[in-house]
Amino acid sequence: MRRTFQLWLFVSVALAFAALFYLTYYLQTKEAFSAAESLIELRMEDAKKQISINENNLKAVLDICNTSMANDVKTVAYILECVPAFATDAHKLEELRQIMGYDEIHVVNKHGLIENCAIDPVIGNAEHYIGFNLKLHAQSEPFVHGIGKKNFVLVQPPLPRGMDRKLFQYGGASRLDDEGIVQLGISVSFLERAMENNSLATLSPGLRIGVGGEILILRGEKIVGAARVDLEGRTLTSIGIDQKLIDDIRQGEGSFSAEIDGVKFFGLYVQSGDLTLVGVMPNYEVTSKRNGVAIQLIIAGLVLMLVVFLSVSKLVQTIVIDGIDRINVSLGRITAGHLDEKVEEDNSEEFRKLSGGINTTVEALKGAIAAEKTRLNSELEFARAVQISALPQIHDDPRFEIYASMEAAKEVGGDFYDFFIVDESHLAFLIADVSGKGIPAAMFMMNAKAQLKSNILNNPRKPLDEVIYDVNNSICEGNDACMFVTVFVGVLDLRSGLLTYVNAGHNAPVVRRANGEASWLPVENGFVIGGMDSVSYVQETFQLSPDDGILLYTDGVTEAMNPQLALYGDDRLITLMDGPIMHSAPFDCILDELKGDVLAFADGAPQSDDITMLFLRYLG
Amino acid sequence: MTYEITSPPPELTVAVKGRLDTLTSPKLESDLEPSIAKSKSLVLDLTGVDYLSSAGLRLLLTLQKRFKKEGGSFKLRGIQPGVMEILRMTGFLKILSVE
Repeated sequence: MRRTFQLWLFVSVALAFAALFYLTYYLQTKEAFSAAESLIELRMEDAKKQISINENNLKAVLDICNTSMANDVKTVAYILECVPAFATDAHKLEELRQIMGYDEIHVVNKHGLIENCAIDPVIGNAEHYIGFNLKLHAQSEPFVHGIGKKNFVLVQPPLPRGMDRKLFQYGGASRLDDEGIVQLGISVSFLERAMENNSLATLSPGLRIGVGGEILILRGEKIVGAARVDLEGRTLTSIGIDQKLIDDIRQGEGSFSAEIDGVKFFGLYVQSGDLTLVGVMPNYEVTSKRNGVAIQLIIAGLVLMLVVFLSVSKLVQTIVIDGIDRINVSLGRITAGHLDEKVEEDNSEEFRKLSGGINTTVEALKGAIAAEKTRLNSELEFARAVQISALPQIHDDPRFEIYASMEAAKEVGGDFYDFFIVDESHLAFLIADVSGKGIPAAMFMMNAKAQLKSNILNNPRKPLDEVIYDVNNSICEGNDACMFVTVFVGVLDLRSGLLTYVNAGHNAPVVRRANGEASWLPVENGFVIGGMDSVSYVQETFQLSPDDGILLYTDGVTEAMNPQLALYGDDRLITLMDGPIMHSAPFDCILDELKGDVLAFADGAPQSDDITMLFLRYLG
Repeated sequence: MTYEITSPPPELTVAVKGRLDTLTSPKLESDLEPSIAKSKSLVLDLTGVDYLSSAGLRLLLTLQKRFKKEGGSFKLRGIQPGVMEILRMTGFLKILSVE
């Protein structure tokens, strides 16, 4: 039971722990992703702001450039109006160009042809530009539209130009002196630096999220900004994101999971103008805190589980199992026959009830046993009384004296003796010992006794061995229990003293001569009666003289036991009978002396068998 | 009383030790019943038996009758003097086979 309980307890606690762990793990995971989402959102918001600031900065710089260019070109138009020579004198125009710090100054006539120009010699030879038709060049063409208009001012955005694709900006304004326009051109390398300074790539350090996460800034499919510089210029496809997800990412906002360069990432995306911002964090980083919590939880859980398991186990052991064990020990003692055992388990109401129930049951059982014992005892006493009452009474006859004694053991035994006058000159006497004890033995004894007596009385002329042969067959009939009886039976001719006898498995009697000497009566040991049918017996004779006696006894005498488990034995018997005590003992004291000797030998050891004795004195 | 099956059925041999009395004889009989049921012959080795009561005699008688009825053989071996005296006195030696 303890094993089973512990197993179940262990399983329950383990399951509870597993459930708790799973729940916590699940919530922590959710929490981790939620936190990651917030962090990424925040960082993307920052990035958006940074991008916006950059754009604004750039725009401010461009505005300043544009305004300054517009003012300068209008100034040139004014100078031309004041000093027309600038329109024709290349040398003067060159001086002006150098003062103003521009790379190119073009004076364009009403036909859109450059009629005078000054160009930084590094860029080219001014003479080559004379006569250049603005209409023929895409970058210059928009200025043609200003010809003929008053107050026309156009500042172009910086555009890449020439072989080196350097940014170059043109501005133009209506001429005031004549129909046409003046143009200023300048290589805006400072703008490039400004744009560079404000490019998305410069955001790189600010695009980091945590340790391994970052914000990817996409223009179209191309990565234009990322914390890892090596990602810049690559496409989402090239870092392993599938097309379907790319399509999703490029419109709207949302979250996703994807593998980037073989690492699992969690990400969010959002649009910002023509840019797409994708914030990603590697899953291991998202869940690293959760994993820490999980490990702590496992350790704490295991300790807790162990404590719960041990304490509940110990508690149940103390409260229930120990109690049951003690009750079982008590029950074991009760079952083994110790009905005085009391079950006293009182550490809980249930145990008190159980103990009380068991005690009450045992008390009831004891009562029933006592009642049954009383009943049985009275029955046995009754049986004993019947048995004893069936023993013959001593009667007066001048030809013989009979002394008999039966010291019954506690239980109803199977010893009996009998004697009766067969006819005017014959006395039959016998002693017997039925195998077994109790009521069956008593009943068997009564039957044997009746059979013996009736067969002997009814067949006075029949040889004694044949009578016994008949008795045996009769008793064997229906004797399924295999009970048997040992019998010594003798018939004494009261006139002659001739003793005729048959011994059926019984102890040999002792003959006591008139002079006190004693010896065994020679006997042929026949088989017991009732053991097997058709067994033949041997009839023997012995001549008694007046005052000779014969002692019959049962094995209660010779097998009386002392506390050392030694048997009284045949030798002790014959030594006593032939000894000085018996030599001088009066006839009526012989049995008492013998009984006294046996009891002295037993030395208080319980008597296990009937001690039955019969002494016949032939008077002649 | 203790006993030991020194040869298994169907040629059963049982060595008995101690007293064969009212208490031990029925126990020996019921203990041996399953083995006896499978045996054609039985030898009881009484070398260790120092006392035989009428209940012990009854057990011998029961076994003798049983094996006789079924055409088997039942024998005693190693009978000690005290037991021999009881068997002689009660005439059991006349009906039992002794090795």
